[in-house]
Amino acid sequence: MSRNRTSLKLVLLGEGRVGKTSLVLKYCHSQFAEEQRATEQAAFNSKQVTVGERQVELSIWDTAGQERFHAIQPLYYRDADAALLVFDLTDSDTLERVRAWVTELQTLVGADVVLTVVGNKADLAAARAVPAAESRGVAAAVGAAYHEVSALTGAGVEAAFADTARRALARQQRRLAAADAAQLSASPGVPSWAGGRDTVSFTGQGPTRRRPCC
Amino acid sequence: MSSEDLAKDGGDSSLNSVSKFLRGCKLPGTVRLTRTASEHIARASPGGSSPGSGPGCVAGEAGARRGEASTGAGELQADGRGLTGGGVRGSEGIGEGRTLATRRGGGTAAATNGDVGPSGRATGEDGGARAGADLAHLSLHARGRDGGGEDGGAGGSGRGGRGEPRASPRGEAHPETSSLRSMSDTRKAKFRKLLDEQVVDLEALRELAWSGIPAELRPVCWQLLLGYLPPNCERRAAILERKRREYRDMVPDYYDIADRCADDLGALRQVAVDVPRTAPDVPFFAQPAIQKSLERILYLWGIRHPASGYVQGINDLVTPFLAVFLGEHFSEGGPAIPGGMDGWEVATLSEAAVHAAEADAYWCLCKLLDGIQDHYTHAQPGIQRTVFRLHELVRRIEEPVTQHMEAEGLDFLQFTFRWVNCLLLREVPFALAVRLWDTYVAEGGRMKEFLTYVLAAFLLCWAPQLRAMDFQEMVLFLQKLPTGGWGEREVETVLSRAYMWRTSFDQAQSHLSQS
Repeated sequence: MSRNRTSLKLVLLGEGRVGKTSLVLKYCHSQFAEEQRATEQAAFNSKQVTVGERQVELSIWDTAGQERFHAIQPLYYRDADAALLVFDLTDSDTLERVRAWVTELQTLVGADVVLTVVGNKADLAAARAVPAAESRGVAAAVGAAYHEVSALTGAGVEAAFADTARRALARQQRRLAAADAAQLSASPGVPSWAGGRDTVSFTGQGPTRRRPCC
Repeated sequence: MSSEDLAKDGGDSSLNSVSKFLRGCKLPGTVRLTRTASEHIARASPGGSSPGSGPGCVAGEAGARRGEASTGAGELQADGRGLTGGGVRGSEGIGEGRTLATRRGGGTAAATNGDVGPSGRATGEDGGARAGADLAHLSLHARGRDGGGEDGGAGGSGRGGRGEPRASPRGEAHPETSSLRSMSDTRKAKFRKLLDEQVVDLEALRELAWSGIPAELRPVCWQLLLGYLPPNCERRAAILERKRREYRDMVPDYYDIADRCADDLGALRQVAVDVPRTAPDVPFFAQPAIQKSLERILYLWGIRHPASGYVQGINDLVTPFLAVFLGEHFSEGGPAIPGGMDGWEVATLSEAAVHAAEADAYWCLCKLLDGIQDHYTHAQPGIQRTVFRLHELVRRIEEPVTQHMEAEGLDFLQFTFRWVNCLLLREVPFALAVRLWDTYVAEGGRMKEFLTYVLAAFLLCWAPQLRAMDFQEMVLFLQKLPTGGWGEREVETVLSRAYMWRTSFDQAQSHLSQS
């Protein structure tokens, strides 16, 4: 198993225009643009990070906010290790959607998917419509960590991703350990997305890459 | 601020403040539009008749025979597809821009996209030859399959066993010319001749327009080909007048209203957040007057098409129409969009001119989207089907690349969704979008089907690079392709390949699931 090369898949979910794309661009490329084109369906980014002593490759899927695109979105998050549920601190409606996302995610990915609720646009203090207590309450109710960030200034962005990655890595290691245990009893483990890059040897063949189920 | 204020464009009520306002409206997070079916009447469909059989509808067989008949090694000649139409109809100019080069025997690879006379001899323009020469190395895919090769006449036999690999003749037969084909005087004269007729021959115009429309004739050509303008020139003024009035009347009825139901407010909110981020790299669209036009068009389109409503990406699709119809007023020789849109100040135009262009853009958007509505309805089945067909097609054309992508776990939907959703507009510089649009509108009712081939040709431009990439590299590469330096030539190469493949595979459709 590729223990040396660890990959984690993160997915960003949330209403349109809350700043998902801007968050990812800030985190991965330290960029910010006022008018970011709308994301249709999903966009992909990656970043190498160090979590503890381990090099981790984060694959980040930034999804579309408009509901019309949601039908096909499980393609992107069905094998996610963690999800960042982004809402706009100046728009309380966007927080409401977070609960719906969690239900959908847990159905498809499993109850133990790592969750982080992220309140974006913290720089717009005057326009703030969601008190911290309220969003913390929502996060706690769904078993998620809570971070407030600003994709504009960058405040909190690193911490939100780093915390998510740390917890996702811990989850993956638990899962791999469980998979190893299962492998000992003869059946091959089924790791998460990272498994798609693992090699599984079959008798008489070279290493073959396993296709992910989607 | 009421929604009436939204309509009164004071110039200072920026859309940002609108979206802020709307955000504060305690709207339900997401709403689906529900309108009565009577709204559907708005969708004036072009009389039920398919605009139909664009260029290339004729089977390859006749063309292949024609090509065979006039073959002479080493000569500049047209082959297969390009001649398809010419062979059958014997009319001049058919097959422009779609002729591909093949290398025959030991002869020099040569071809022309130029005018092909009834004799099958290349008679004409040079620009196309460049695209043709680029295509030559691809001809092995087509040869044999469509009977375009030595086995001429075996039209559509469906197998490509004959194509022995050859050295690409790239670089040979590249005439020294930098003039864009769509700009050449002879082409312009042909367009004018067609357009000057009392009743425009739409099929002839379709064939001509497929290879690019001269900038100054774009507005009228698009409007004719989309079925917005009638072919009979006597009726045009009246129709334009009526349609523009109809649009003008919709604005107070649907847009400038004080009370909106929650659904409509949600729709307006979605449009309002997307308008400021439409084509952000083209300053032209940042002008307040344009943003108002965009907002009205998109909102009206959405509420009058309740089966889908406004979907992100449609904002991109309207931009070529607005640019071309407004551009008419900015340059004497026509809107040479590839030459840039700097200095196009919409504020300097009369209100009537802006409204007319806006109305025309609205109706043309309707016409364009009529054929692909299922791209935007729930779960977007049209897009899913197109992507599925694309995957199968690419597998047929380039099995190794397809296998590589699959082995890396790359799902076609993961990178082609936006391509289909925005008809590739976002993947090329804006100046080239209008060139793509020329071919789309020329395809008419076949545009949707043709799109699959265009997407395949576009994807396989990068086949060599993709084969060397892993999953991550591929996804990152495919969502931001290096098309920044592209010109018309590259786009035309993609379109020509698409044309060629369609002709090849049209005869062997069984590999593509019918929808």
